Amino acid sequence: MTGSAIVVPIMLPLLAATLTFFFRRGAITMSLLTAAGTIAAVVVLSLEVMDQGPLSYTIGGWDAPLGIELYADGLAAVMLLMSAFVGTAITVYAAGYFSGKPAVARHFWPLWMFAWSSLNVIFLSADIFNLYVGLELMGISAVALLTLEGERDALTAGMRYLLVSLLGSLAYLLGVALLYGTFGVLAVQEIGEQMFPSPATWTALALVTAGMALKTALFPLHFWLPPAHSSAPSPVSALLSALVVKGSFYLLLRLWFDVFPEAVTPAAGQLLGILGAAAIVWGSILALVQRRLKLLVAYSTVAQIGYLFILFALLTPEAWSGGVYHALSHAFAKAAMFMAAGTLMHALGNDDLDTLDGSSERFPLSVYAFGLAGITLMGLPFSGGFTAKWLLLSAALETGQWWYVTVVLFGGLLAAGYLLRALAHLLTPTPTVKVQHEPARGTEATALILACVALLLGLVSAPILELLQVGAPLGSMIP
Amino acid sequence: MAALAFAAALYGWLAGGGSVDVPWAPTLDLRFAVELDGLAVLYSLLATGIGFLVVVYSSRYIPLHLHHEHRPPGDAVRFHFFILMFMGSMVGLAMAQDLILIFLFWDLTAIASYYLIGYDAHQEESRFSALMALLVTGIIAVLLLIGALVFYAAYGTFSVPELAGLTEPGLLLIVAGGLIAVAGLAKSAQVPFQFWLPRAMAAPTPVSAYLHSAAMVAAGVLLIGRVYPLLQKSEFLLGALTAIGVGSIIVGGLIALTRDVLKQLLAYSTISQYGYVVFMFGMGGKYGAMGASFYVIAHALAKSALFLTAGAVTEATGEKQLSRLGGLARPMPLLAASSGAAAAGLAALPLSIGFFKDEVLFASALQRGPVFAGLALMAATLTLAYTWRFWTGIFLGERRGEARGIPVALVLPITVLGVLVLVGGVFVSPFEELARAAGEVSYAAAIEDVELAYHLDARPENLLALATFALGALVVLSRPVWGGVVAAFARLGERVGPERVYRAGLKELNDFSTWVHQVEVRDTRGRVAAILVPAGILVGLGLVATGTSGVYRFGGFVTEDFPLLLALIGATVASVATCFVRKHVTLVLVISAAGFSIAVSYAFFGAPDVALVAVLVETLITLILLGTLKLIPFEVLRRGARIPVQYATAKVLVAVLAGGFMMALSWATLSQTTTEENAAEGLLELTPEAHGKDAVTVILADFRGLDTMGEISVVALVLLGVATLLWRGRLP
Repeated sequence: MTGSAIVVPIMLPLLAATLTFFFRRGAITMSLLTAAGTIAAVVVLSLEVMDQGPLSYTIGGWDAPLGIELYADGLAAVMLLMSAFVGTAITVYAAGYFSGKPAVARHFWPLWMFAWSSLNVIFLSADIFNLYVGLELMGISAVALLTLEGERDALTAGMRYLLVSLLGSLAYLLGVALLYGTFGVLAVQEIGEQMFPSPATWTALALVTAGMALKTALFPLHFWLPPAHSSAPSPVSALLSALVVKGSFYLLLRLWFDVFPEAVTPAAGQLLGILGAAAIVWGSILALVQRRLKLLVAYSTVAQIGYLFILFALLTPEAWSGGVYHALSHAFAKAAMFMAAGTLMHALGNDDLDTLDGSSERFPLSVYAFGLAGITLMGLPFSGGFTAKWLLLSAALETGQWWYVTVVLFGGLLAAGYLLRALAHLLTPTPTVKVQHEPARGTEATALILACVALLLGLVSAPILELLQVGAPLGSMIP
Repeated sequence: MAALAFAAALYGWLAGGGSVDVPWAPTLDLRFAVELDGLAVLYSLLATGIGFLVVVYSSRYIPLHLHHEHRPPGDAVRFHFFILMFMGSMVGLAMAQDLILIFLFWDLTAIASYYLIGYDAHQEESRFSALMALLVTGIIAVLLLIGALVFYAAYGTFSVPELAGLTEPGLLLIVAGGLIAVAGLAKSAQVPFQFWLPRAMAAPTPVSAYLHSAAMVAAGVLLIGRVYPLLQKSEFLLGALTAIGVGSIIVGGLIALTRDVLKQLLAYSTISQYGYVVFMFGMGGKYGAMGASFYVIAHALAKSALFLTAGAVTEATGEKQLSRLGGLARPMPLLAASSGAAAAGLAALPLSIGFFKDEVLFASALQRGPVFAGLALMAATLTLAYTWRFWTGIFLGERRGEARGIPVALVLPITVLGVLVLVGGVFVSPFEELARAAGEVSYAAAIEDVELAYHLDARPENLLALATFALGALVVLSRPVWGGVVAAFARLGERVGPERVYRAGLKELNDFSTWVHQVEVRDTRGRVAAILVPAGILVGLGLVATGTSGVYRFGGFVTEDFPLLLALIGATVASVATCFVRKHVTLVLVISAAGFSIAVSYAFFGAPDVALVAVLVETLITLILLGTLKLIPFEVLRRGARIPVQYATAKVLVAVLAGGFMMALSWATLSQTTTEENAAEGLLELTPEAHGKDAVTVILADFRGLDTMGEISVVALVLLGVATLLWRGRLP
């Protein structure tokens, strides 16, 4: 039973990718079945992890030094849950969104299934080369998805994204090569056990970190993100912002704590923390001036990514859990936000903030979803974002690094600033709202449900935090 | 619904209160702790009771308002939703015992007020004011959170009663308590945060009435009352509260004397009135604690009635300014009488509840000394003066225009409030008990010997009250003398007051973010340097951060390496040459020369298979590049080749920086020879088991089958992606 549950999230979407490519007619049905199957498998897997501790599975029965091992601990399970639920929502949303564009949809389904599968590979694999393969798969499918509609902006952004993505993967691959040269193995656990500080491992660490920082769009390597995320078709924007950046972040988290702990110095962690803090401020300030809704949301992603990196500077169990929890709640909130923005943009023709004046009268569900998701991003109490920031704050106080407290709180204020700016437009009544297309069935509700889940994560956090503690690298935060 | 809630709160009080304390997120040490104690009862009763009257009033007012504004009647639903949300969060705030929970409800009231103040969202002014209220109270609310966190860091709990037992006077208490107090003061529109409140008058009148008497603004003093057990331990904080209270009384009172717009006058009066409450908290002691609570009750009743009066008057005449009103007592006797009672309450005339509010004020001030008594006297005089101005301005004097009849529902709530004010002036004990219970929570001890009653003797409180009446009359009569001075003061406030700081701050933030945007979009995006510089610096910093004890070693040189060296020099020369070549075809050739040189060096490194692949790739790339160039018109290429290089120095610097760090990295890495054995032997051993003939096949198909499958997927994906790009939806 264990085996099938751990393999399903990778194999099922891969199978669906092939099938949806050949059988166009049933693409939506197949994708929805895939989503259901993935959710079921992931839930079973999470319960097993909760019950029995970390699980591992060797593919084809070849053990770790030679073969590839899949490994699921609490962190992997939480990330899988995230990708399963947000992925399902993206599937449902896309079914509606692309309903009028069969030619685009034809390519969307196989590409999206590939992307989904690659995400799950990254979350589950315990082999640094296999992780590279997953990374490459994710990067290329993301670029292809981005350029799906072939608009000018998207092509420019996509080409840049492709180069950045390849550069990031290349840096990672170089790091892998150095590690393989030093240790002769590729399994995460074995390298971690043998790790010792030396120039080769430092270089590998630097390369891997720089590559992943580039792919995660950590300040100051973030410049490619806003055009890419904002010009993509909306389901793809949601996918990129909610899940794809989390994939490379997860990789960094894994390697940093499982492979490199012996080689990492506190100063290096501080460096990432400071860049994260800078990202929060820089991204938020840029979000303040945006005149287009999707660009605003994209810059907000730059800022929110900053929070993830603060944990590297704090290095306590709380901070680690807080960072991961932020990744989780941000995924739900940001996906909801992009979906809502996408619905409005589709319905009103463009996403210029002035055009969106008064959309709350016609599309209350979407605006409501946007607002609820905003609560999580601002980190107001009773939302997932609050729980995450709370953990980060208490860790910052505990370690005496109070300046991170200031940054986190200030970031929340700035988030309130740019989100209110957008909301003010959405809520401003105007006599004439010109609706060009009616939103497709189910798209508005999907965004709203995601936003509600993001809120719910703040109300019911205990089970997920508990799951997260299974195999946590810094020890459990729950006594 | 509001009435039900009121009844529930009343019942709760009579039944002796109760408390709920459940863990909310146990892993985070957060609890959902609420208790219906004296303070909670007081504010819950106010929030629900006045809320009920306001809802009754607005059931008629809002449809009329919407009609004036040409909006659909359906919009009324939104109003009622938010005012009930407001009420709910206010009750929650009143009962919350946990600082984080307080913060939560605090933000909820801010959000509800945002929608209510900005209810006329089609008006620019209205939106601006709503945003200002939200930003000021919201930003300051973060101070509350910080204060709470500091307490938590020091004492490990958020519960106010627990903290009251644990804290000791000292710097920590001053800082954390001060932060929380500032949050409360900003919400109560005390100096220097007072500017948002008059702006908030853009709200529909019932909202203003509610905001001022029982909800938003009252929330500030509620917070101070809630954490008062902590604050009163520090003399410094008490002193600061006193000073801010006095400042607000003076600023609010003086400006109120100059305002012409009804609601503006009332708004400044609110600033001044809450100044009293803060002043009394600052003076401290049992009189202070109980007096502050009593003051809140008396003020809430009177002020909500006056606001509703302003709304009713405007509805009847269409005028909003005092100078255009007058003589309305005759056409609207009931309204005049009701609001007269309320005004008497605010001005502290005998036989109204207000008399007692000044009695406790004087009593607590006398307790602290003559200076405070003088301040209290002055404050009371100001109040009397502007209240007189408000009421007589509307109802007495000449009539200046027609008054339409207004619905009963717009008058009745005012009458109820007016009657309550008078009842309180005679039977003060229920109100007194309420204030006592609340005061005991704030004071954190029993308050027994404070009695509110009429005393017909020459005790100092009575003398002060008499002096107030006399001085008040003097101020009213001598208006021509001081009118100009006060107006100048008000103008000065507009010129240099804190509102300027707020506006300037917003503008600076906007400009700054525009500038940052320029830097990013115009100057960095789209340049290779945007990756090279940060990556170079990051890797370099990474090296520094991890320590560079790694040795840089020179290896030996043997003659067999000579061809290899030659190939590397070739690659280097070709790379450098790319910087100087301007013609496209030559550029392609130089680049491929670098590539082929590297391929040759692979061969000399003992990897002929890799070299073969590299040669194939280089050939392909060269052919593709040349083929692409063929597609571009020759003229375009020639023009392109003539464009001179810009920022040459900067580019050289960038290249040297990035290249230098990479070289340092490679050198450091290659200085360490690897000695670990690798898994190759294991591979060979296991090959037969996998039923394969050679190791490579087995690796690809068995040991690392998942990788192979992944790479196949990558190839498939690339094809799919390219197909998507080429077809762009043109094929079915």
